[in-house]
Amino acid sequence: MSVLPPTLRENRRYVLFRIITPVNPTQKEVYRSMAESVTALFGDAGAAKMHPAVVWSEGEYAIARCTRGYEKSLIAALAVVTKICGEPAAFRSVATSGTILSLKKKVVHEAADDAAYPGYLCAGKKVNNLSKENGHRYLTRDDIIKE
Amino acid sequence: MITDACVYANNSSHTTLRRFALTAASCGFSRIIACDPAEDISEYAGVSILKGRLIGKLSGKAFFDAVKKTPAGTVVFVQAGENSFNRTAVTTKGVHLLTGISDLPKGGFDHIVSKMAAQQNTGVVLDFSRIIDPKTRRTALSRYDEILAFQRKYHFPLLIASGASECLGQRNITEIIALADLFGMTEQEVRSALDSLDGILSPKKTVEIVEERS
Repeated sequence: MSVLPPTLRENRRYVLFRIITPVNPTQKEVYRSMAESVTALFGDAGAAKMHPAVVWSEGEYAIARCTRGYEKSLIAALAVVTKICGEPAAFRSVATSGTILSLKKKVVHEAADDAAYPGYLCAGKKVNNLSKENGHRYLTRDDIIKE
Repeated sequence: MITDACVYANNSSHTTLRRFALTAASCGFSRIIACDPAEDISEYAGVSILKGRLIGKLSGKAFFDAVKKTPAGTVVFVQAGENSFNRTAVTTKGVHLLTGISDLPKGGFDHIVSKMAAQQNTGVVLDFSRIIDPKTRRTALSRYDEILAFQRKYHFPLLIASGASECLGQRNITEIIALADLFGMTEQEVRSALDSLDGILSPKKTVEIVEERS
């Protein structure tokens, strides 16, 4: 099939989202989780109209693509993702744009200890100065100092 | 103030109350209500934390006693039950919010409860964790659609809660608007629902003294 001229191509929108999960998923795994929730929420017909895809993924950020006019539906689908690779996860929408470049400018790489109120994920041996009774996985620096 | 009407930061949760507040701040909220919290914190990361108490389906005197014994300054939630219980709960003085609507059978929340809620200024909580959970999603969307129709007619206060028991369950405002769109709630309605707690906790009086003359 020949490539369509620009005026006949469908317009697309891109959504930048943050992946909050203890694992480090690949782009394919992110796509699978997203596609699953799009199908669960809107069905195969809705997914076909929306054309969801993950076009970029780096660290905890990823960019998803959809047909113009379906951004809200895509954000809703991203919001209902609760698992990735069998681990609890959340996809948090950050921004919507017409170009990938402008979204990449909005990616903020946070240093672990620089923020005023950093949030720690205490899983396994990452934080080891907590008492044994403390079963919290998600806490802040102040929670640790308190102990 | 933009409020998340309910998070469960109790002992069984893996997330501390501070972490809930921190996540709420990053999601654009300025206030959260922590239901039966394990810790006593009033503010963290610029987010004010209100204490909430959830009263389950109790019968007769036990219910009224539970409402009476709730300390001042605590937001009182009542778990919705049968139609007659909901009518009692909504009209009881001291009850602020009715929650658990999505678990009700069809007709559990009718036009009479709606009218009473509007008269008594009692809020109805839409728990978005029910939409996120695929098992309860269909029922929740259908119930919330019904409630929205009643709200548009009778104008009782509507509130939005993440209902999160982990910080991963909290959603930001853009996501809430997108999720609310699934059952036909407009952005304007979402924004007024996020901001409606003040109207419930300190309702407008019929007569207000503006200036006292000696």
